[in-house]
Amino acid sequence: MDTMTIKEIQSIIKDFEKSSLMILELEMEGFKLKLSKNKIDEVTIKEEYNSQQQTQTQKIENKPNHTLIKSPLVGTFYAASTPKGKPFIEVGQQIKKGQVVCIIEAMKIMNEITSPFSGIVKEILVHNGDVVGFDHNLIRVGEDNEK
Amino acid sequence: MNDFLNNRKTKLEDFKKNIRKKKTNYEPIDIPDGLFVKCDQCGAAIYEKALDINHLICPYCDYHFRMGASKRLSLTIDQGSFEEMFPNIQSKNPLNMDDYEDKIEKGKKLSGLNEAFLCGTASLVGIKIAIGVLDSNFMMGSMGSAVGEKVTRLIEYATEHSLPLIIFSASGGARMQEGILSLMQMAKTSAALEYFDQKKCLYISVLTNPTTGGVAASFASLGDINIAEKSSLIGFAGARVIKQTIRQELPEGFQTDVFQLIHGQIDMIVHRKDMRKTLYKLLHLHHGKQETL
Amino acid sequence: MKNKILIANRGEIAVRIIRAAKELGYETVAVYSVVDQNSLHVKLADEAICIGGNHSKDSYLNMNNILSAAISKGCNAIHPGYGFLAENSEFVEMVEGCNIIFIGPSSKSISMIGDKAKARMIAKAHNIPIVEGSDGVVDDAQEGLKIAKKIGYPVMIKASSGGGGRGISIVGSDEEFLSAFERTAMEAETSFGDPSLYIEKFIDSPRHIEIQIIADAKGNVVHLYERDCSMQRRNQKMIEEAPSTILNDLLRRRLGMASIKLAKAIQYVNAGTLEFLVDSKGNFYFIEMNTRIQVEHPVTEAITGIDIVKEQIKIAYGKELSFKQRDVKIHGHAIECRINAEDAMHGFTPTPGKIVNILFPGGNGVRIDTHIYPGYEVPPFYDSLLAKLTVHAPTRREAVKKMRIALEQFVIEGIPTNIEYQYLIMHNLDFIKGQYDTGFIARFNTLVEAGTNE
Repeated sequence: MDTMTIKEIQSIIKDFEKSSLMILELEMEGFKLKLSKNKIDEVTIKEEYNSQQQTQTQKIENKPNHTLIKSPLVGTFYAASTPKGKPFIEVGQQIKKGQVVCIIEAMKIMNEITSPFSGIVKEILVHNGDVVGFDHNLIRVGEDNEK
Repeated sequence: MNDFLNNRKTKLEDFKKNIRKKKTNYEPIDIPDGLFVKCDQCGAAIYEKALDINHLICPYCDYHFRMGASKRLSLTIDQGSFEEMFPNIQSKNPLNMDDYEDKIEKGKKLSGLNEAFLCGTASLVGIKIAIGVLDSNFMMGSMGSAVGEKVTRLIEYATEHSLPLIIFSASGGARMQEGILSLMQMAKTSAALEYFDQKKCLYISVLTNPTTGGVAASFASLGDINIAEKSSLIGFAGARVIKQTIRQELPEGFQTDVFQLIHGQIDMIVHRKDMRKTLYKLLHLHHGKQETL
Repeated sequence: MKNKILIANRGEIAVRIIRAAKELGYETVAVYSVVDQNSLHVKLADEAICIGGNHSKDSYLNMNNILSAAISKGCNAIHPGYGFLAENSEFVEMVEGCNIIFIGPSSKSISMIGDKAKARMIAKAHNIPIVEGSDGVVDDAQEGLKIAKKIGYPVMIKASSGGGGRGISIVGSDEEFLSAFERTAMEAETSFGDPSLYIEKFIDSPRHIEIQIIADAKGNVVHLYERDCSMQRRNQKMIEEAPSTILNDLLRRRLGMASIKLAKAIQYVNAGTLEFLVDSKGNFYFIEMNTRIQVEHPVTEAITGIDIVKEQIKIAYGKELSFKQRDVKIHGHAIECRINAEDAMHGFTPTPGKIVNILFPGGNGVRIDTHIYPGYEVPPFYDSLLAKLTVHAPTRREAVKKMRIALEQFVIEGIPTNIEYQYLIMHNLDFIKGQYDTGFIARFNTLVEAGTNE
């Protein structure tokens, strides 16, 4: 095999970045590649706080294969676009990445919150009119192929 | 210790609930309307006054909000130097279109102007210029007979007095309600610019967001120098219409300022904060000896 | 509707404000970044809401999120504490625009006097002495010479982009000036890449004296005497005391009057502090005004008996000052030591981490203001202040002794702190004699590093 093309190297770098690996060493005939993520301090501190957060934030356990949609803003949660309107989503509904799931109102401005992933709505964790802070767990989403 | 403190807090809260006679409900504070504006691009809430001070640019994502003619002038020319011309040219309803007169009234209210084009003479860092600004608050800055006439007269005045000319465009195109009369303005303004050009004077066209239709296809694209303001949409027909007509996917970034720059439709993209400086540099480079105000 | 206050801060000052508000019977709302969710102020407040990510700019400096929190929770007032948004006139304007009470001065006052250059001009206009200077960069040596002559020697030639004591020359006469100017410009160019210089009058062995004032909306302004904050390391205060050992009654009265004059001139409302430099001859010079409650306010509270934070809240809600100038007297002497999460013995490196256990000192005249508790994790994202230890005694001598014992009995297990360092200072002869200036800590530090113990 010839030496790697630029595209192949770029593809390896992309995959490495996305993965949780810290160091990658690749050696082939006539070619050597070493990649490392040198963010030591950030990672160790993050790890400590991450483990804290997981046990402390709210009473919801981190169920396997479930992800949480968190609030990016501070404000009031609304399930529908108008006071008497139909809610954007309901439990059991299939949602797509980028779909509007709720509104968070801050300073009289309505912000549509979109889901960062696809899946099935398992639980809506807040009520209409609740005040939510940053990172507040709003909606639990499960994988598509779950029973 | 952490859990202990949390438990204690819950205990205290329960205790207080029992001894307090009634529970006070706190309503959200009712803030005045319009205090915060939502950014069209990033959705952030911007304090209205802060937005105004920041030249109507979103402080978070640099999105350039649409700007009315008066505000545009205040940011561009020397303070107090503007002398308005042709203020009394107003639209009539030559084709007797329904609702047209109502729309004109609405446009007057929203923009504070008599028509969608504000023009006159002014000085920019001491250099005397003829300047005109389209206001998208007035019927989307559309060009009808009145706008076309004002633009033409401005160009003719600049021709006669050998003044450099700057026109800020922001338009949805020709004004539908006046039919062929609107379209004719494209030819009229372009012809006036031809005479201006023969005088060898400088015309800078600044295309702001959005500049489309008959305006883009006439005087807005005929500048000696065409400047696009950052994040402006510049094109002729609407993207959807084009897509449906040619039945093909449109290239990425179609009709954005960057796209037009790459394809040679405009000469430079200028950030709103640099606009006055850039215009001054160009005027300074290109005009000969002129009387200054 | 009952009064509800949002505390837009964290750490010990948030705890302090929550205490004062609760004592007045008001509801409290704490705000916190994600990493601060277990912080003490969150546990003590009636309600709490998360306002952003760990970095200050995402949370404690995030004006939109904090304002939205106050609005959603129905708070009719915001107390900014110190630092963060406390002196941000844009934030204050937004708060005022939302019809929420800002517990502090108006946005107009803040933008007027918060600007150092403007403040100097206002002071000058009211015949309050300022540190004379060139008011900006000096273009060339000749212009500099003219300014130096006008100010009067000795003068300091300082690099505009300078810091850390570099790029500074002290000139005593016309003859020295021109060569010093050239030399400093070259040094500035090599050290900071910018040769531009400005000129300031040189003040020999200055003491940093600040006057606490408090004013209500009816125009009553009272000064609460001085604090001596000369014990600084790299412009960061370490120890503060009140009253100052170098002020006599006359100088004290003059400083107090000057402060009240300036506060009245700008129609200042709420608590504020005016900073002065005082030289060895008893001349004082106005530097700047801080339009907020300050870290070291406990020493003033100790000697005057006035709860400044409570007064701040009362004034903000429209009450008049409950005392007049003649009611305020100095009682005894107070010293405050800042206890920081830093390894003072090894270059003052920050030491975030888990505090395993704590033993707080106590007793008559010993006060602790803190947010730490056993098991608390000190995050690395914010300032290193852990606690403020304030002692109050009838005389300064007794106060120093009391501070020594308190520091001995103050135990923080789990991370290095500067407790030992402060303890050493309490045994330093110059400090005990009250003879020190703003250069003290720098000199003291070299002794400590050399291993000697004076």
